[in-house]
Amino acid sequence: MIKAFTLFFCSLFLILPGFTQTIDEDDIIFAALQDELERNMTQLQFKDFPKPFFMAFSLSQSETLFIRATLGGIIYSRPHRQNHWYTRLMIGDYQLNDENFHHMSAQPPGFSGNIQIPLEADYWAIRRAFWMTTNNVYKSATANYQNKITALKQKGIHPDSLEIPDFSQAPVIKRNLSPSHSLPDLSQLEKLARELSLVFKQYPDITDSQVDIYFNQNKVYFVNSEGTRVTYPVHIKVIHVSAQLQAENGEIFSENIKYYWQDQKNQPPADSLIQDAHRLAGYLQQLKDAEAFDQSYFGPALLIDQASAKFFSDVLFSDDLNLISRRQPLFNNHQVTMYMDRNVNVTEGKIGKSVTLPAISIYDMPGLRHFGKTPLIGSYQIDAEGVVPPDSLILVEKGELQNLYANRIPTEKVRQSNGHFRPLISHYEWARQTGPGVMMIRHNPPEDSAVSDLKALLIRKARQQNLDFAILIKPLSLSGYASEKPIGSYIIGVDDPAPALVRSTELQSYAKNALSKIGGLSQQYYVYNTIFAPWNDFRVVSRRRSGLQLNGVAASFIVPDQLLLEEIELEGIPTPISVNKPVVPNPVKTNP
Amino acid sequence: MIKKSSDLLLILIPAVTVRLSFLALLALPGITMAQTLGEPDSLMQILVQELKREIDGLSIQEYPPYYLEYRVDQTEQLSLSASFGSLTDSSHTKSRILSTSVRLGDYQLDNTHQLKGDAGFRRLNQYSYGVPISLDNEPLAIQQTMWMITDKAYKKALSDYLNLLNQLEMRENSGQSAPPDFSPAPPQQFYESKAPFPAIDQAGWINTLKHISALFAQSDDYLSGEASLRYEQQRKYFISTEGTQLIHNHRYASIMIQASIRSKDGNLLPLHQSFYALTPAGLPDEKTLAQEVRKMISQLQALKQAPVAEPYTGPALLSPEAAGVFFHEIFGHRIEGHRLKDEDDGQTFKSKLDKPILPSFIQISSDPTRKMHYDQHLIGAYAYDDQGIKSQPVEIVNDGILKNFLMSRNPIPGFDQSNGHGRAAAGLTPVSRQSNLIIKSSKPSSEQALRKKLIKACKKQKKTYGYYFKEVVGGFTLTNRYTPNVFNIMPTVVYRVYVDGRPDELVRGVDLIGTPLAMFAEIAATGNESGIFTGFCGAESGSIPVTTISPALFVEKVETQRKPESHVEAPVIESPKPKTIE
Repeated sequence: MIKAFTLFFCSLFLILPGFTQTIDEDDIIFAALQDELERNMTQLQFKDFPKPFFMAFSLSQSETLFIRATLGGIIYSRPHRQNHWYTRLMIGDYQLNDENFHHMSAQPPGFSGNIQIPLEADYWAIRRAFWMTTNNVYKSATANYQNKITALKQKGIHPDSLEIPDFSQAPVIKRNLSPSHSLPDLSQLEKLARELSLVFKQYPDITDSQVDIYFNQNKVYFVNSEGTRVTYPVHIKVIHVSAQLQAENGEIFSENIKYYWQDQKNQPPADSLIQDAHRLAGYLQQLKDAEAFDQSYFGPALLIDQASAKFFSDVLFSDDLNLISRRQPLFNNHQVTMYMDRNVNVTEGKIGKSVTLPAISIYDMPGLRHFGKTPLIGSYQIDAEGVVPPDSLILVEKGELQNLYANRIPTEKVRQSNGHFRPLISHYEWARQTGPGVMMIRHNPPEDSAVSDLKALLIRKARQQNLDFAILIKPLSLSGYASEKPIGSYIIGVDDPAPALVRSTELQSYAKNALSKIGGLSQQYYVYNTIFAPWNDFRVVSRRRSGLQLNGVAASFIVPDQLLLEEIELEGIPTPISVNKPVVPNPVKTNP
Repeated sequence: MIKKSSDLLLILIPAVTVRLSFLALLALPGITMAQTLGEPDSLMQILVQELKREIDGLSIQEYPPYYLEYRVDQTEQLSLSASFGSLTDSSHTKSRILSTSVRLGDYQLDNTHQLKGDAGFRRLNQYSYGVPISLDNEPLAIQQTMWMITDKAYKKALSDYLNLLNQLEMRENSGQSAPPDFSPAPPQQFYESKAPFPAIDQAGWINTLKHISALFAQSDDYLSGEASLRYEQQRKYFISTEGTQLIHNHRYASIMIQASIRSKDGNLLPLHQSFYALTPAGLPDEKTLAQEVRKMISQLQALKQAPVAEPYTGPALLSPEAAGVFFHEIFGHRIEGHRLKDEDDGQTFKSKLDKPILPSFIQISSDPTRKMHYDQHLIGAYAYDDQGIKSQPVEIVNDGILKNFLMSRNPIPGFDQSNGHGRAAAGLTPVSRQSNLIIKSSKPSSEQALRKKLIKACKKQKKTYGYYFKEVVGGFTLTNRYTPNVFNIMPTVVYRVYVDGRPDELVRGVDLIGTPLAMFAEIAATGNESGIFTGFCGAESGSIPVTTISPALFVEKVETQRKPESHVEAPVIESPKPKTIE
């Protein structure tokens, strides 16, 4: 049916170009993808090597907008259109195919060389690009498959004895989820960037400040040889406000606020942004005047709002406990063996076992679009493999691990995709990664053990450990959220419960069994929207202000807004050896 | 004295005392610099204001700078690309890149001084990168960025300078006998009027690019078939504590066509064609471009069938374009003055001044003031270099004798002044670079006469054929002491010229290689028509536009080597094609 339509369309396109404007762009792109996919599925065979058994084509139309401003002046204003595409092709069958195999000379599937994809819905040009790419991918997949069969023989493994299939079956889906979006007026956003960045003109101690506005809007077309045909949106809008200040001792510290949203109606209003920018500047001033923390602390801490969310997003995707399933591939090289052995996800062995307090359950609810009035940027309906995620994925039930996030590559205990292969929001590439959508940490303590005043409990625990003070970590409370690594903490004296801000604190990594060190959780919830990237988070703490850098999946974490940890390790950052203050005063000071 | 031309407002202040200190200069009545320009320019006013503020602050330090400059390269660029008949890129960008130079000490000995033994490290340490600044003339936004990079540059200069003084104390030779580290320059003021970004028919150009690149889509043999338009307009600002204040423009438009074909043995064979003009309006029309693409297609099809050339040594003819790249690589880079001060460099011509280095019939000059060659615009032209020095023609070789070097403000023995060749890409530190390299001959020969000479030389060397290098894509050369001092020119169209009168035979897979001095000795004759090679030259100060104008060359002996092999397999199935095109 599609084929017949396509041929009809082609003649129109070539003979009466004017008519193309009346043909829906989606139909042109889908026809190009579908026709080329079918042609390759039926015709692509080199010598006596097998034909592909599975193919998927994905084309993403991407529009981005990046504006940077400082002190009322625009530094960059760059709208950009770019199309990305991806071909996945497998040789073999669901049980045994060319994937999940590491061979030192193998090209990764999806390699597209220097082939360019058209910006326009050009039927033949799209087909041509996919034809060339698919040809390359087919060759590399065929070579990988042959090498994998050889490697299995060398290891004395009969293919029929393989317990875990290489690829899981998935239902056929046909949906069009792309709402029509258009990027907002560039001049309006430039005006906003100018106004917002001008706030810092009033703060002569701020040595550097920046406002970044980044809009990334993708419409993804996906077809596969199983019959799935979907379009889905991947879009994010970001405002990133950052500022830097230098203390009298030469120490430089910076803080930033990020705002994420998807629907234009959720863009934070300008007056609220301006108010937050003032609070950011005020907070840096407070930090400058705050006492520097010059000791080590080991004891209880109360983590508020984003600090609580960051705790969960760190410890649930750590080396010790990782909620993302990971297939251990076959390999035929000693160096790869060494590397892969270190990258086995040990969490799968904990399925069915207790990993945290019985009062804690963890779910992912990707269909949830709002929590209260807060929009959730991690919400989605179809993943990058065309799989619809369940309404609620139970990861941890009453403290016991039940499941892991998974794509269509089965692992020992997670044999089916649960629709969590997510497209990355990235400046750099069109890539996908298994990850969370809308994760909720639910706390249901028995009624008799619920603690209403966690701050009082914190002080009690500090006293029990003979400490003079306890720590409260509370990032700036704004309509967006402040940097992920708090640069300031509050000290609460056991005899003086009024929190006092200290600067130059550095939170060390959480303990190995941190989830079992939870001393209490509130029953109010906080929403943390973020671009989440556990796979490239090297826990580098940057004290210097840096520009917006995005490379992860859009995710939302709904967490208890207060988290009491029995113990944390907090270090004071050493004071710089020399005071390296500016030679000439900041011009904002001399020309206010 | 104010002199007005059609679009330029030129102000020249007579050279006062060159060594006038910046403090004195800024104190002179009336030298609130921006006000002296013919038209107010907001960005220049901001630069002036911050320069003064910085100098006021830095001059009271224990080690005040003796020189401070700011450079802003403002660029607006339109870029359109099509591949195989379809639009693949369309962008219009603006940027402003600020860079600075802070010097401590004096012109003779400053923080950039290279000591024997640590040249490599210190040379690398000298290079800096620019930072983007506000596109709006918002004073504080720009001043704060200027302040930040000045502070960083001053602290680095101070650290380098104090380290240098310590090093010198430890050495017998104080370094004072070495050539100065920086040459003073008379203050210059120049203001070129703002040029609006021209109205460009983008839709029309997109159609043209799509149409001409679509011609490559008619065969599965082509691995790439692209056409792109670029128009770039730069407005360059320069201000220094010597009193120099410059604003000048630079622009060019280009069409690049690139295609590659798979040979029978799986090698990738590329061809390139480019056209340059001042603005897109001066570029060839679609009909002309399509004709060029069809020529490229014929050439690529011929190349596909062409035999692979074996390594060869013997006589050769170089077309004017190939000769241009030849001179740019083997000669041009070796007369860039700063290299003669660099211990790591081979310094090929250091001791060759006033000595013959080329046949006596060859003259070479570098002329950045020259804007046209017949009806073609030369993109290597500029009004002032990136160190604030007025461009000037320089005679490099006269009757085969080396007379001069391309000088930036980094003096070498015998050459203590810049001749306006300090160049850099936006944000990078300028060094001496080429501009418009012009090769002339006092004994030109016709093309026919050159072929006769080639055949005669082949017979004498008992060769059945010589080579004719017709088209080249570019080249590179190594000038340091740690690797062989070789050049490599990458031809795309090469013919064998047979001595027995057979038609010329197209061959492929060959690069022209050699060492400079040996090659110069083999230049035997030149043609009587000149050609232009236009390109972008990459070196330590970034990519800059250059041109070379040269006649054809007959060389008694060249050496070639095989090009690196590539392995591209034929597609398993044929390309999807609309039936109507077939």
